[in-house]
Amino acid sequence: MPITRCDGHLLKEALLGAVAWLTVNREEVDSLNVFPVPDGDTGTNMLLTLQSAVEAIRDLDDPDLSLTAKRAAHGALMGARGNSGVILSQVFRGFATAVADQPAVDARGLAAAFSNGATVAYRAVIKPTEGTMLTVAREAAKAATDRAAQSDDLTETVRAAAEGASAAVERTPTQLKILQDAGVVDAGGFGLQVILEGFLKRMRGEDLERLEKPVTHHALPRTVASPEEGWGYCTEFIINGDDLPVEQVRQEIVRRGQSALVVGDETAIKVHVHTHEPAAVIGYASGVGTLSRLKVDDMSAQHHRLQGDGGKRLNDLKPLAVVAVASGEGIRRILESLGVDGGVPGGQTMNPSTQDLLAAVEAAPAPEVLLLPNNANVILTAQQVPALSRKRVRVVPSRSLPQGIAALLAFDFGAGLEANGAAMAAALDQVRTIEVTRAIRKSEVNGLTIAEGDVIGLLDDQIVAAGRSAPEVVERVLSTMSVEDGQTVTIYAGADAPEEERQAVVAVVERRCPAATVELQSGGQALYPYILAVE
Amino acid sequence: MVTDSTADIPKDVQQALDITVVPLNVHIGEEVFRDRVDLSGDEFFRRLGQSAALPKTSQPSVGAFEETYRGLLAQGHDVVAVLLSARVSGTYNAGLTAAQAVAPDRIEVIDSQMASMALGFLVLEGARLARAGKSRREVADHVRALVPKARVIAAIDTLTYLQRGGRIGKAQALLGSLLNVKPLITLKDGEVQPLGRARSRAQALDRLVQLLERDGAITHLAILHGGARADAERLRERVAPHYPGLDISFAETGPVLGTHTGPGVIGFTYLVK
Repeated sequence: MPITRCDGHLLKEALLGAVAWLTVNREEVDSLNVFPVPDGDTGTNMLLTLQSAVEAIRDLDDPDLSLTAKRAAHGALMGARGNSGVILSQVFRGFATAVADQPAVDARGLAAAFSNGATVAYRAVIKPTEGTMLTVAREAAKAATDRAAQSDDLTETVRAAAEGASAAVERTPTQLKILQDAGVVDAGGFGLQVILEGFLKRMRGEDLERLEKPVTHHALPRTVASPEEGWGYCTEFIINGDDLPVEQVRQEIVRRGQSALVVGDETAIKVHVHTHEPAAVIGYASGVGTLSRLKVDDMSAQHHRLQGDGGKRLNDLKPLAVVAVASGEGIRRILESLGVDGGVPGGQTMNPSTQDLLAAVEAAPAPEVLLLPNNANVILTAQQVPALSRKRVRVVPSRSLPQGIAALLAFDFGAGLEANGAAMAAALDQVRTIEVTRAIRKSEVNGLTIAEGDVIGLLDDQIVAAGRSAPEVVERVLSTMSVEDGQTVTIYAGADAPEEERQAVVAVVERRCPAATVELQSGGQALYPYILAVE
Repeated sequence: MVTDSTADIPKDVQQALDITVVPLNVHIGEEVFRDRVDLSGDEFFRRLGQSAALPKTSQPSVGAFEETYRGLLAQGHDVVAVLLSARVSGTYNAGLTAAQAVAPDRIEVIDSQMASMALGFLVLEGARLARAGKSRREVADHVRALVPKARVIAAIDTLTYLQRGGRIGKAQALLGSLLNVKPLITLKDGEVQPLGRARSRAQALDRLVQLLERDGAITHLAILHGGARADAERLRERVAPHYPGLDISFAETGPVLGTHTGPGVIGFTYLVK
């Protein structure tokens, strides 16, 4: 005999069926996420929401439909997680409102409750998008309504809803470009389909303990960044704002590049696109809203580097860049890790030319550039650059690597060229520089008798100690100064500094400066086995 | 006045000013705790040091806000809810959705774009007006006008927690340092943004003091800290002479904010004049 009345008991059973069926399908729903964001597990979020609805009626044994629906809707609301869970809870809310004060409904009443569920869910989303769970909810309700007009059999109503959902889910990639690009159907929509199928299975009397996963799987997301032809920049960012025109942004981004992914709502839009002109894309986007998580990867940078042409540089990507002279691969990496955009090779005996510095400044990704010479012998060269460059350039006259790093640490992300130039210049004196090298000839300096090949120690460019070994000289230099509590001593070991000797230098510093933090770094600089920063 | 648990408002102040706090949740392994209700900041940081698993956080449910609103409306109150920055949490959206469902004409929901006592001060200011008998609209207007004046600046030991929690925002510019540096961060336009780097904690504290003083006259100030009471006390002693007559309180970081800052976070929350 067909089921023609839906009361509280039936709804409870249907929801138990939905939980069981969604549990079986959860992983597949989870797998359909377009972006691998940490909290984006749609299936898990929907299941937790649904479980919360069921928990709210687990101990309820009441034939009254309105009471059961109301409790379940409240449970869903309290347990709603993630966007998909929130939308699901709104479907429940709409359902419960439609059956309020009704102890039971017939097929038409059930279809009307589904319809109201979809309507309320649409209202909860500030800017509804087609091709999502909302579309699936609406299409399912529509199919149920059509069938209920012809048949009183509730099983048929629910079957129509499930089939309508399934058909709508399969269409979602044609409605949402991100789904099409990723080659998946909408996860939330599929989750809703699974819930309706669970209803149906229970109404047909299937055993909840024995539900098994169907063999058919939806396609998994494919790698959206397809192999690239030619040069280009993988450009990613999030546009933040109010009332963002998502569709307009999507069209504009798609027009400007390949493999475009544009998702979000009117407060945040995530953009991923491959383009030859990232600056133009970013320029457009920054006119739409505030940008965050900006990331531009030159997909062929390595190739360019191997060719030695410095690669295609991005112009004007940020307001302010820093270019610094780096004597040694380790030092270049350290400087870049602290925000330097261009490291110019050059040290004590291989000072970079004005042309070298100018080229690096021109290639830096900003219209304004701070230039750190990091060597007393490079300052004058650097000071030629502002007059030669098309850009606004300010030289921060750092005389040593430690001074350059102290300047970088004073960089204020919230300030511009002038303010940063001043703050960084003021920071130069906050650090003391010890350099250890070998005398190239014999001499008498500052009362010291130095033989050729002696190890000598300089404190802020002045020779203050000489001796046979680096640890011994470092100790003598340190004995001429005071290192206070809370200070940091950084030792940059040069290319020629042997490992055991590095440890001996660390030991000397730790003994001499027991209250300081000591850090050993591989600088890789030539000629100066040790450079120490005391700050 | 309704706010959420990330406002870091001390319990006695909450009670004295009739402020209702809706807790976010922190998930440690299989356990779920209501922020600052089931788990204090101190206890959280103690566990954080012991457990390898990183905690996760979740916003209050829409239902939790609805219950809160309904309870207050039933007592005859209108509601102004001031909540954690919408850029870093869904809390504001949950609060807004709940308001629309319950009584949109009696509830104002405001995105503070802030966290900790920078959010808390907005709530306290709202509560002050509410207790003086001002209308919902007047209270909300006052709070909205103060939003652009709220500041939070902080030093953290590592960016790891912000990064793993997905809240790093523009402060990702600070990532990847080969030297051991202390990142300095702020909330600007509602999201985490970089301020700078310091070579050591001592230098970081110096920079925080400089940054605070650069902002000129202020009306409210609290020292924010996550399990770093001693440093917080020292910071207070350092800055107190600059702000005679100002009551400088402590904002102890709770489990939810602590999940994203990690232990040892320290900084200033304040309203500029």
